[in-house]
Amino acid sequence: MLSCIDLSIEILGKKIVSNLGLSLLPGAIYVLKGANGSGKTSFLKTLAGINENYQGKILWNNKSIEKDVFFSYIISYLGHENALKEDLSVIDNLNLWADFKGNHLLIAPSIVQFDLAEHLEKKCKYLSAGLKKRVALARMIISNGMLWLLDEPESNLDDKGMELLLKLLQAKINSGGIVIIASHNLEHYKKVPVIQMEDFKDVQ
Amino acid sequence: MFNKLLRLSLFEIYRSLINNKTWLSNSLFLFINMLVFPFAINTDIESYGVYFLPSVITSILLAVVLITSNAFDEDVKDGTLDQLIIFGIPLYAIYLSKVIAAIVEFSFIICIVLPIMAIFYKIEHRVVLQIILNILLSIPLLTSVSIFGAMLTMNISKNSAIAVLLVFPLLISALIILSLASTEILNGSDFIVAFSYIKINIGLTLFLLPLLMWLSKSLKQF
Repeated sequence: MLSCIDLSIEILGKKIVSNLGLSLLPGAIYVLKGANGSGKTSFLKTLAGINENYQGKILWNNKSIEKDVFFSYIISYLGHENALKEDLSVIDNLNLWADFKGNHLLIAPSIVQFDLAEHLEKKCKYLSAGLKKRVALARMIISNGMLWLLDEPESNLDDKGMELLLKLLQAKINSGGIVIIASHNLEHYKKVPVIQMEDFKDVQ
Repeated sequence: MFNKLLRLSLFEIYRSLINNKTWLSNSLFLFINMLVFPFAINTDIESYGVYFLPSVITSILLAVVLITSNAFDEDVKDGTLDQLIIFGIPLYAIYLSKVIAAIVEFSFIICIVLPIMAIFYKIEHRVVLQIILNILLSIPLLTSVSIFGAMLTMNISKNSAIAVLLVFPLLISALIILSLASTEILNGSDFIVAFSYIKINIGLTLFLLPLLMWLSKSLKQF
């Protein structure tokens, strides 16, 4: 279970999120909704451990993430950027991240899941935006975390890519994972709890 | 952790060497700078040899800044830096991998450009080899300091701006020591004499690199 207690996030001296409190149970998708600048990305980055400029507590299974040395191992994160090296091929990119996680066995399933077999040797700079997003999503499988943080993952995906993504998200929550998605397109995610970021805006 | 550091370093080296645009344009920059430098002072081609050392030192200062200043730019822009942190790789390891890659790339460029330029400047092979060796021994200090400066630029705050300014005196000091050592070689002194200067650069590397790694550990991206 992921819990946030009185969480306030500051970016460049400005409080973006204030007094956020929630508990997220495993096996579910949660969607963060809010206008631009409402703190969706900052919240995801804070959970991911990229932004450490926050007050309050973030607990994973009732243990502070700051004290949990293994917390980074359970996170998979996809931001606005795909984090692909454009001058490397698709397979080289996947291999790189698999090297860091020691998860080479997950490369093949990730390729199958996102239908990347015919693009493996292509350099990422020659891929379409949608295919790049699929490669980035394939990395999510390789990183194999229990807590998935996705920032507008549906951007640039066509219908087929979206279908593959939704299948993957379903598989993740079926295996007991927690998926948190920042999105403006709620029509893709039906019957999921929605967290309104405006509810945690600094009133001052 | 050592495994991750090794993989990341190899990846950075691989990327800097397969990316012809990077090392080729940097080599070309160094080459043109050394070629054009004497013209700014004297157009008499016969007296070119006098300007060999000044042009080497100036070019190295410009090249080290050129090679290292963008070390983190791409990683920040394409989101790789975020992913590396999430994948549990500490900032000091990311910093060190960049330093190692820059050392390899810079050494590679020096070994290509300097022998060619020595022909142009009519410098003896023995002298050139000794100067190259001096430079290679000083590159770890130059790159580690310069990459730390590049890393500080990610951190947008007043303190980091001051720290960036502090990096340059260190670079200049290293280059002055390199220049003194190379002057000894050009004056016909034994390499041991030149090495007595370069020892300072090596000592500074051994002192500063762990210190900079420790400092980079606490740097945040925001």
